[in-house]
Amino acid sequence: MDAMTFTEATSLAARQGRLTAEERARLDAAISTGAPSYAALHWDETRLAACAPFYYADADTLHLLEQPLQPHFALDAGEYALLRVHPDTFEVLGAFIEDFEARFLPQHPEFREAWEPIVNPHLANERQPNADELARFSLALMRHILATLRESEKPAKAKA
Amino acid sequence: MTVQFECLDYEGIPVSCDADVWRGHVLRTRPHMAGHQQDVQRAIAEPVWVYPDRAHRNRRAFYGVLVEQSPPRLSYLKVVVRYGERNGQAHGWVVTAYTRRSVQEGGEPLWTR
Repeated sequence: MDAMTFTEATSLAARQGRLTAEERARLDAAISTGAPSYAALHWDETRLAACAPFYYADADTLHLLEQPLQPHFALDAGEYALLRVHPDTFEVLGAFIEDFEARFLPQHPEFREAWEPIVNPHLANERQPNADELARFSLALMRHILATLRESEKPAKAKA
Repeated sequence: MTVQFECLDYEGIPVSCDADVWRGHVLRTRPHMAGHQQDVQRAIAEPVWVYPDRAHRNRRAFYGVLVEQSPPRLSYLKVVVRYGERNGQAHGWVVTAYTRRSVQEGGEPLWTR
């Protein structure tokens, strides 16, 4: 938080709904500078593979949850996916994908075959996925999300 | 359906958060949100920004600010609200809530002061 002190930012935050456009821009700068880039993140693939899939149907959100759950903030990785990032260490702790069935799966059908037995085990020959299959699913999704973030941060010329 | 909390949004529309959503989704996946129920209500009532949802026409994304003192840290608090009718009146229901460090919604906000 370089642009202003924490006390100043807190004072602005206390008036969050009544800020002028200039104050809102200053507060946004104070908060956004805390968002890490891909290069600042680190992770342990063994721990990412251990993230348990949890699908919350009402919000159409798939969570990949580390255990035990730790404080985190959400870092937008693109394609409806957000990484769960520890606020102090910037370790990647898992992820969640919004609009998972409505938007993400249609764009990424390669994940559907592994997903069906997880969300509908009763339709998949009554066989629950085993721990290895869950770990492969979680790790494949996490690698995809991290790659999406890495690509999104490449300069436009490099992409072309 | 037990209601965890109810408040008015910035336009005066009642918004409720079902206990199933708060405990079964928000706290189950983000236990650190446990002490921030009032911050969620404030983000709905006095948002910094309100954006249309990217995928659902009947949802809005509210952004408030979450202040943590120890260690000192500021984050955005994003709250997604689904709108419909209850007893013939406009009503909103909280879908999810989480912290993030940037506003990335795309498009123009529906509302800023």
